[in-house]
Amino acid sequence: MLSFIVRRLLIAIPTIILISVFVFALQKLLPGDPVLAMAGEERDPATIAFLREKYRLNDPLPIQYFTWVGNALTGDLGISLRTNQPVLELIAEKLPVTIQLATMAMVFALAIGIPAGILSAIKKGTVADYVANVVALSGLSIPNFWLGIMLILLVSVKWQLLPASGYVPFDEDPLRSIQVMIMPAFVLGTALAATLMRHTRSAMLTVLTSDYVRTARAKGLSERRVILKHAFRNALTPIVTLSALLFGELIAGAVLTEQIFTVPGFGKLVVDAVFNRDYAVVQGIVLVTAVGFIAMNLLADVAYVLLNPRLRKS
Amino acid sequence: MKRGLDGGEEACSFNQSTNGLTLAQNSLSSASTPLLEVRALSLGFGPSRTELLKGVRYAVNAGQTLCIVGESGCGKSVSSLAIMGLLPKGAARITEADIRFRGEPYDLSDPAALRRHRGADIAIIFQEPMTSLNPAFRVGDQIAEAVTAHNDVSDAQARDRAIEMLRRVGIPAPEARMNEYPHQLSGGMRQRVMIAMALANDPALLIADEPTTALDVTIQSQILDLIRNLQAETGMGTIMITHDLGVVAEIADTVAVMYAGTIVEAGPVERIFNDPQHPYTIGLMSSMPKLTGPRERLATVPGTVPTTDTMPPGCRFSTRCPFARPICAETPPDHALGDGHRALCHFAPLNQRLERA
Ligand SMILES: Nc1ncnc2c1ncn2[C@@H]1O[C@H](COP(=O)(O)OP(=O)(O)O)[C@@H](O)[C@H]1O
Ligand SMILES: [Mg+2]
Repeated sequence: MLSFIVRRLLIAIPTIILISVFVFALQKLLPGDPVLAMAGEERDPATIAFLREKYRLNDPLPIQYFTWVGNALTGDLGISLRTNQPVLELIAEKLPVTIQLATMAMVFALAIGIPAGILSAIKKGTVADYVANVVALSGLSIPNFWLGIMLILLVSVKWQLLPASGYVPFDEDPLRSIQVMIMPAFVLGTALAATLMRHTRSAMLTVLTSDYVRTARAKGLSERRVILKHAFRNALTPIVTLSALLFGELIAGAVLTEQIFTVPGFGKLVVDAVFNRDYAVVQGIVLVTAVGFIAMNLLADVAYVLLNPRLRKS
Repeated sequence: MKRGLDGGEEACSFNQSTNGLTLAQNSLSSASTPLLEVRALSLGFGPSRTELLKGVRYAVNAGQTLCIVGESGCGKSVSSLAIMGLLPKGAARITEADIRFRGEPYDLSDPAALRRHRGADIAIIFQEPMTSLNPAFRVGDQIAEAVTAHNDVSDAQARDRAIEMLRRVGIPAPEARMNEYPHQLSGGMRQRVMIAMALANDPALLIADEPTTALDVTIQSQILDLIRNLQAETGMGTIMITHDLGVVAEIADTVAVMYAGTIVEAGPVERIFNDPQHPYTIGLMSSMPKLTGPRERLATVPGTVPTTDTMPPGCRFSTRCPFARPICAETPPDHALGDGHRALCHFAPLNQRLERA
């Protein structure tokens, strides 16, 4: 198992190098000169020269790249061109907010999607199955912004049950923090819940016709045990893998949801940085996100192996 | 009342136990209450109005082996799965089910009752050992689970029972094998595990649905011997589904010949082999070179089995029968031919009636 993880990590290294080159190159190819933006209206040549020197923009590109990578490896992702704060600090400040949002969305999606998928698989062809599928399809097709706005209008404005926006750090007041984030998490998690429901349903349908499920029934086990132990345990593998992979996408998808509910997370940081051509921040964010994706991929692979006795031993 | 009478006679004729009359009476009385008696079982799938199984009828006695033979697709598996309550939910329409188990009514429409029987006093093993075990769990746990499903025992006791069962089915080093996963075992070993699981609760009846078909020839006879030995040890009744007439000759006490969802002929094994009365059975027997010769698959009777859509009215074999007459479009009677030998044919017994027809 350990050797598998090590091997898998070694494979991840070239991927990360490739991504870093890509991120760096993209940066250089994009139109718009950040220095000009920073130098202000006067465009004083001395200031421009000074800024170019300060951010080492006169070095040859490979040198610039290696400097950037070297710094990144030591945790120095540069300084925000706008706020002069270290990029890493900015990210470290915002990332936990988004991770909390994505985690809550994931918990919600799992808690709804998996039971609904199991149920509609067992009740295949019945009204319950039909309703679950219609709801899932709606969950997939309703745009997040519309759902978010409707929720705000209904739950916050009309019923005044939950706040429409804001953020309370988790370590300050966990209960309140969760409460404030319920609506954004719900909005972010709906599509995922629908996806998980459909995957669970199809995985369960396959497994339920298998010979070993028939064997489990032949032993005289209760239907509950047959489904939740023998069938679900085998349907679980694709579900866990999918969830790990989709968690990365949740973080990306959080950008819009955070805008709707004005959650001060990663999404807001991304949007601000892009609009302000704050290249160092954009670079840092892309890099961190990419590494996060790779980590989730690795996690998915490890989970897959852990859940498969056939792969576990070797 | 009958039992009391027999018991009394047995007690007072204890010193005459070699008395032929007493012995005959005892065997008669046990024969009159078979372990499992399927008096009539009919069912259909989907929208087709023709039933796939039509009036299936057979019986098996405790300690004996009934072999069900018939071409692939004739409904052997479906009938045994129906009896176990293991057909896919909602798939089958059971139109007729008159079944007795140990003389008691056995209700196919009562899922809870079926579940109490399953794996407890009626067990089944399947044709596909490679896929019949759950790949996610250790084989020992899968056997132990069968024990705890029907008995109020501790996990340790169930585990001990699992080890004991693995030893009984001839798996070496059972303590170590317990902890292995199905993929670590060969097909033969997996079928042994299936047998261990099926017999863990000492069932009165074992249904073995072509248990060796998927295995290597060398392993096949080992598994059959194992089942036979375990049957001798435990005195369970066995329904062996097979299309290997060599196997039938070797292990059957009674035989039921199935054709297109009906039992066309049934009886003691010698009668079926030496004096077959249904044209289909005769075709099967002539397609088999010798009792002791190489084992042959069935299906050498010319023609193809009708499907539920092409099923002829009356006798289902009439489309392939060399003796078919117009009367065969009517439902054939179930002729009793003595000694429990029956044939579902207008002309049975053939030698007497065919000449007249
Ligand atoms: N769930 C099902 N739905 C519809 N038809 C089925 C189903 N299961 C079995 N059958 C049909 O029943 C027939 C008998 O199958 P089976 O009992 O497996 O034959 P065999 O005698 O080889 O064991 C086959 O033609 C098969 O297509
Ligand atoms: Mg079969």
